[in-house]
Amino acid sequence: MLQILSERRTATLLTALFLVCFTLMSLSTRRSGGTTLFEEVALSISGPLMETAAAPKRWTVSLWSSYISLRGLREENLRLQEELSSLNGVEVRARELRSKIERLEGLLGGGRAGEIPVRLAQIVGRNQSPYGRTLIVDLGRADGVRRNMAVLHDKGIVGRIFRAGQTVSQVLLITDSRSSVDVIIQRNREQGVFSISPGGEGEVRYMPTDAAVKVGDLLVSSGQGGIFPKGLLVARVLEVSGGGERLFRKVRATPAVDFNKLEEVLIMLAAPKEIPWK
Amino acid sequence: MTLLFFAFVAAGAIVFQTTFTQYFFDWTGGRPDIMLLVTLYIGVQRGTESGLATGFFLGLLQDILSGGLLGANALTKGLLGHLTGGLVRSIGRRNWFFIATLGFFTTVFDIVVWAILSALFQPHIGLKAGFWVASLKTIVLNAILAPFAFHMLSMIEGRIVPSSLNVSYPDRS
Repeated sequence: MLQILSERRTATLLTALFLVCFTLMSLSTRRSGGTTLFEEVALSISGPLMETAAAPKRWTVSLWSSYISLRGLREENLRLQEELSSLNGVEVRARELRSKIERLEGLLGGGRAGEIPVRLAQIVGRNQSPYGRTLIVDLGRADGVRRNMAVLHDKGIVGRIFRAGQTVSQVLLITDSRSSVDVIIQRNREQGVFSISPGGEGEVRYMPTDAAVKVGDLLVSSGQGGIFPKGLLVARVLEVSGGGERLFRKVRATPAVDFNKLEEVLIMLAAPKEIPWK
Repeated sequence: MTLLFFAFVAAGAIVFQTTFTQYFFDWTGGRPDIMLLVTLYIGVQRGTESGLATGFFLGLLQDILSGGLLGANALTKGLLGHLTGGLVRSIGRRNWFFIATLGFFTTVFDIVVWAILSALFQPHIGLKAGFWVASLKTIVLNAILAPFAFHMLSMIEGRIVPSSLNVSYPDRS
């Protein structure tokens, strides 16, 4: 048997290639979630390499932001101090409202279980090839990162942890066609689901025809998906059409985050089950 | 030393694919497929079996890093590594035009087969936004970069495995 295999080495190798790859593809399609040992090992090996490769760029950016771009700092500082003094009154009012909300939540027997811890992660690699839209960040299981944790930016939602390696993790962007986010229109609380259409555009599905959607409306997370907290910016409405006898409106939207300009993100270090609003 | 060369090239390909291709994206809106160019180089220089093995492992890494269909890139790149080794044995010409043409057509093959596999195994997902436009840019970038990549890899190989210098395939395998 072994002799036949070694005689027909090329055919054997090609057959093995097809068998292994088709098995992997079948398993990959059927698997519901989780990270295999092989994927974790590959991520853990490639992570330090990517971190090392991204380091010179980080140092350059850090040098730029620390020294070179500090020109004009005095003027900016004065302007910010003026803004700060005008915001002092607002802060007092906000504190008062917050304590009132906490008091009322306490009276209702519920209340939030405190703030969710977040960690700043550097993007060390990105893959926005035709094959998928993902980022690699420099935090992994050793830092407490787990699958399906929310990944955010100050401009809005970025995505969720797709695979967590030991020292790096893979983030599935909300612009990947496998992603969807349960959203509400900030202005009037109408609900829908933001995702990427087969044509590659952001859209809001399941928006009723009688929903009062307008161009420019902000879409925020509803908190119902179990991954993202409520009230975070997701996208902005670009175009609204449909109506009449159709069941749902056609709403086109663009993500709030510019994914090409991201350099770091925030990871919410709480599994979906631990999130108090779930 | 040959193993060291393979490890160095694989590590370089991962780093380049996940980090430096962003610069190409900023300039051109497309990304080259460095994993494929490395596979082609190994296929051309070291024959069918090395090409197949390199293509399989680099493709698998690419599948893992992209979060896409696991095994699809491993299959297409493994096949291309194997085919390139066999093709070059009979053609035997390795000038820059030949390498650019090789880069062009193998990238077309890679993308078309990947799209077919994706449609077969994950029809509910469909192809990503602007798949064909992004793919076209990748094809052009690969065709342009293939001669440079081959030159660079040849220089690196000469440094790490000097015994392979001026030894033509299949004797160096």
